[in-house]
Amino acid sequence: MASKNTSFRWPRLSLFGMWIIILALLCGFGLVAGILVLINGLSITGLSDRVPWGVWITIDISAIGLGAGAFLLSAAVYLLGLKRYEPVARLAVFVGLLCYTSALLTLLLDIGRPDRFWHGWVYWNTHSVMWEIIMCITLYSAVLTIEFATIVADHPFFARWPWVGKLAHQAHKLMPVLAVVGACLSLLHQSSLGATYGIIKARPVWYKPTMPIMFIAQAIATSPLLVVALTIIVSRLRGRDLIKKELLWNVATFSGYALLVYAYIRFWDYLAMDYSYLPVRAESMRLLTEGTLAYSFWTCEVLLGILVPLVILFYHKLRHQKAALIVAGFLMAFALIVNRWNTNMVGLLVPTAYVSSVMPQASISYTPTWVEWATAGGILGYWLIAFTLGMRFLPIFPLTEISDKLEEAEPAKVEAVASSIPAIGQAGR
Amino acid sequence: MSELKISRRDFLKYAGLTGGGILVAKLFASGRVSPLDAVDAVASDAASAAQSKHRWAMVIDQGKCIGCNYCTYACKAVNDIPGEAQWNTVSVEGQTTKGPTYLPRQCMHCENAPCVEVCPVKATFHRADGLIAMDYGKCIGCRYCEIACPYGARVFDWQDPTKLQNSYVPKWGVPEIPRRPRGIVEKCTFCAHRIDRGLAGGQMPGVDREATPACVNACPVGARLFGDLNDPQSLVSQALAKRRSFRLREDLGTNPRVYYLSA
Repeated sequence: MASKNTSFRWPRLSLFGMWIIILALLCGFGLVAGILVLINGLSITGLSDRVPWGVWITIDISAIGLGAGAFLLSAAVYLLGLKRYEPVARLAVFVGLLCYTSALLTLLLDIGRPDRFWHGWVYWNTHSVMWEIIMCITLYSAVLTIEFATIVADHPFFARWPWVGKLAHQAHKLMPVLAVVGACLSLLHQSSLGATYGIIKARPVWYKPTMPIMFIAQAIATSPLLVVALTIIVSRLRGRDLIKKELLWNVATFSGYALLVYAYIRFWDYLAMDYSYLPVRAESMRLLTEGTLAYSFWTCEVLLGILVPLVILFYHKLRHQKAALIVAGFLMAFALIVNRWNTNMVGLLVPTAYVSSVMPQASISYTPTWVEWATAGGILGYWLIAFTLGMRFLPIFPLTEISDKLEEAEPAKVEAVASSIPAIGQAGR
Repeated sequence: MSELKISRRDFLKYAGLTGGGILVAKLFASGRVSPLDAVDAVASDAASAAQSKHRWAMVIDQGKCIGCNYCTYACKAVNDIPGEAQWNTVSVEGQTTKGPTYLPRQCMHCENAPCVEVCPVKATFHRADGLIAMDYGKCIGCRYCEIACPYGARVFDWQDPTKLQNSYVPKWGVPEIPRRPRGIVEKCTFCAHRIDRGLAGGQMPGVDREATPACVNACPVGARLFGDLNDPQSLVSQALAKRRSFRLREDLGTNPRVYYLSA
């Protein structure tokens, strides 16, 4: 027996293999929880009639917010003609597709009747913000899929079927159209996610016109910087700069100004809400600033999500540090998720007043159950595993085929590629 | 010219096309035209012309209500609501010199209903006679209506109702409508099945017991009245003419059909 034990060897795993296994476990665990939800229904969640939306809606609306970079950078490249940013846009499209599919997967769990997911496409209530979101994210996911397909078609694997390349070439001509359609759809639904809350008159802490603006402003500030942070990490792992760092700095600067706009709107929005007593709204504000949400508001949202990234993005010495950009990108993404959670909870955890002058005393609480966290972990696992494999196997960054591209590409593109070559030389750091 | 380039003219062209698309969508919206609902819309318009002569309303006298919850029990039995869920709720609202006052609550059947506006699939809608109804076959269970309802009147079927016990049957009544499936939202219907059946049989809801909502019949102190506001002789019209009344959250502009007489 003993000899058998000593002769047994664990297969040696690369770091990459271990990473994939961990993520696969996360996905598998989430899948089991997801199947349990489908079998048992939503009664195994912590949700209730008083708090009907919780962890999952947070994932839905934050994943879509974090995917906003796709439409922004596509618009920059194909509408404003900032061709230099095409590699960033390609990554942003990939990130966007992963975010939107994550949101769609979560939505499937969140609705009580997943078998009726298609009802929104067939039974139209054009008055409903939710209907508009369903239509927009479906159509926009289709746009992202087409944009993504043209990227995948660059893979040498498809060289054996010439028609794939031809089709992709034709589709590529459509890019400006897709960029316009995508931008329109995104501007609609990114803000509508905020309007979902903003139109609810029964919850005075939500009911305000700034809601859609704050949602889209935060998404516009956060998502491009997340793409930058991811680019830097992947570049580090690949051992070379995948995208010219001046481009990344420019995107970071853009994110900085967008964050400033968001912070400004947010500041006045919240200051204005604190100035007069309105039943229920005041209680909600107290919950956010002094109650159970105070830590996630002041520390996660304000300090880590706004102040620290502002310092990093506006202090030029920090802005040009890759590590600092990674920190800023992830802090802002984290803050966006926390913001969506706080926004949802601040309205739901305070009871609505049935008689306008009487503040109800009922206490409402929401504790997510393990299935909600497990499915959330599964979604994160799906995102990371797809991102990892995509970075490994998909031609997201076209620099690997520079030599082929140089011959067939048009002058403008040759220029762009040529100008990016020094960046490879400097890859050392 | 590079294939990636887009001229200003092209940009305007595409933007115009997209804008045009939105306009078309807007036209669809204003005309209430949608692929499958076009037929429904025509049908319900025809029905509304025939039926809109009634304006159903409920009056709840807080001065009489003793908080016994009989209304809730009768509702659970007649509408076959098993488990913990309830369409009607009675809560303690305040205190007077005579004792506590109670606030019975249910779907207010608002004229401007937030739930109808937010539902993405028209699963909740105004019937021809103005009552808010649910199409259980359309509801996807997104629960946005629960979020939007100012009165907390909506109930989601977290568990499968068909697997739960209804301990209120037969003591408080017998089920008159089928149970709903899991994963959808339900709420008070003003016992619309009784109203429809009663009117068809020549009965008057609010006067004839068989045509009157179960909660109204069950009230041991006569705190609930039901009837047609368009009829000045109806019990509700008479009560509202004599006493001072209020409705919940009138500041929201929902225009509810449930009136309260102050304690």
